[in-house]
Amino acid sequence: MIENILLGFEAILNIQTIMILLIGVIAGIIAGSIPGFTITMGVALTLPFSFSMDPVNGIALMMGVQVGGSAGGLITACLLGIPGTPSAMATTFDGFPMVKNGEPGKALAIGLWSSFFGSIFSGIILMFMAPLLAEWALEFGPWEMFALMLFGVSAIASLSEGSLVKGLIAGFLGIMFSLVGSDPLMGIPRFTFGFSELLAGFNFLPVLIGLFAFSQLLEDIKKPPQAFKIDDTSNVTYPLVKVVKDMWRSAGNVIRSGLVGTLVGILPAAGGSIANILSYDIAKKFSRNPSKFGKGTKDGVIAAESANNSSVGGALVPMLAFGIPGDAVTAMMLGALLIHGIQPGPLLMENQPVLVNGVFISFFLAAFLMLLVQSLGIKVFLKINQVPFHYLVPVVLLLCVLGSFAVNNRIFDVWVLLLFGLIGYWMKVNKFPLPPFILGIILGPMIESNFRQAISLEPLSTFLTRPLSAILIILAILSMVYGVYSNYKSNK
Amino acid sequence: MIRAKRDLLNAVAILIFSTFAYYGSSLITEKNLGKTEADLFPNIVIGVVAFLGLCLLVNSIYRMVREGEFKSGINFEKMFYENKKVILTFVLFGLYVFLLGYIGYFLSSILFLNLLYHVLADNKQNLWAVLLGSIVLTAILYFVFQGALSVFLPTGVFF
Repeated sequence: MIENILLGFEAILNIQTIMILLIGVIAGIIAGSIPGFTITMGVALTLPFSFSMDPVNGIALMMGVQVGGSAGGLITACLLGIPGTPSAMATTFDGFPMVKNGEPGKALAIGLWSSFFGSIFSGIILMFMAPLLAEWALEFGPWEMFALMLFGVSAIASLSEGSLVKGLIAGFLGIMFSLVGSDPLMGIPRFTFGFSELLAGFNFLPVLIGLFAFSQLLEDIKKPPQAFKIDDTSNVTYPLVKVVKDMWRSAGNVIRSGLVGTLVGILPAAGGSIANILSYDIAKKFSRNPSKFGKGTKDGVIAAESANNSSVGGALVPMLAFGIPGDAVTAMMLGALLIHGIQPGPLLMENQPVLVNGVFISFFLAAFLMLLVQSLGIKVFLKINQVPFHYLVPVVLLLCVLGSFAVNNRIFDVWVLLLFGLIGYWMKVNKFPLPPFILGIILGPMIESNFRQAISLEPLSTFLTRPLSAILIILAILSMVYGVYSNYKSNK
Repeated sequence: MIRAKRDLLNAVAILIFSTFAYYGSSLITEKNLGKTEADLFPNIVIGVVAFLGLCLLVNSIYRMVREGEFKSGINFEKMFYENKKVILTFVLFGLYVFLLGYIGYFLSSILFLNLLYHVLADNKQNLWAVLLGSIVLTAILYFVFQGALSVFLPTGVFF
């Protein structure tokens, strides 16, 4: 293991990769700090740039965007009370009152360091937990893999916001679109309707950009994010010694929130936004002064920011160990690995140890860079936030087009972007959750291959006679029962 | 109420899509090459989607009946007005993709950026600056993609 870690260091610690990570972190902070933009959108837009890179650099770029984006949401959450990303929602509860109380520097510094510690904490768990789980998963047959993936899709569908039926429709529609192209076992064309471009199926990149970036832009055009102006004269600095003292006094809160965030991140569907709010709620319950929450206490910011950043590392655990992403952003990273011809899952640890350890190390390095960039460049990021939306949208749309075109140098993929942009917009407007759809598209071919392999080898009942497969199928059913229950409760 | 009616339309759309997908599945040739057929899994998925679509249909009708009103329709005119910018962006984008192959990346992108600015900006300012900005941006992205990433952008009939 040590040897692989050292090889991972060797792959990451070079000027080129560090620069790529730095660019990713800056792009992530910008995407995260602009209300109306999301981290998912940031990752989708950087995907095309990763093409010409080797897989380690490509993943490092996206890792930078993800870690930077999780922390970037903090800026507008504190200074304006508007979360830059959904995962910074709870940060507004105390961050904004702190600013109103005349402590903008303290709010930002505490939030930033909490994000940093949250990332490091979850990175350590990721580094030890993912290989152990992957080793265990190596013993899985097609029955267990099918059941695990089915559980992933159904859990995301059940736990996503909105109705269970809509979540399931989204998941199965995603699987349906993944069936376009050649049959994974025999290579027979399916649903191509005479288009030779569809023989290899829809390329992930235009699909992802369409679903997450294009549809988000259309939504923002319909409802432009709230216009805002930040007071340039506000003091956004805070002495490092004071930050260390503040963090030390709340060490228990940092660790607990990091743990909550990591565990929530590991669960399918429960990403940074749930981690952020859940951790805030737990911190309030554990606090000696719960009445101070919501009025500008640093513990509220610590809980919220530690948790949303630690959920990033948590979400990477199932992706690396099982090949099942924990949220939409990791789903995209999984898609990126597939584009590079790398199949994520238990065998990845065995076949590509340098890449996997490179992912771990780039995660830690991204956390350090995020701390550095955001500390030094906060005033610049505040200015970028003030660029009018009618200038940003055309630029991002142009990037969407070029990114989609770059996959195969053909205009057909730009039409695919348009198609999935429309599908994504239709889903958003009609409250169909997007994460199950994207998970369905990515896992669809693997679900089918495992299912068909399983029923070719043994009768269908084997899914229920093999203990782990049976447990996972029961868990999938339970997650749906929970979905029905929570729908019923919210309708009441 | 409107949400229930919209869900009714969504359910119908999903059922139509499932029918279309089933037709697509029936076109799959050489089914019996393996132990499991190439259309087996697609048909299962189509069946599940159709069933879920039916559930949504029943649920939306139930909600409409419970709320006791079928008459309150969706105001399409209002919907169009609310979505005017989205529709125009979509049309412009479609036109851009269409033109990309004919007049090339440079001209189509500059045209697209300027027209989109006109659609999105409520208070239009200094149009020459916008034109210049769009030319500079198009050129920068051209050099990034063609120079650094080796992605050769469409040239069209001009350049």
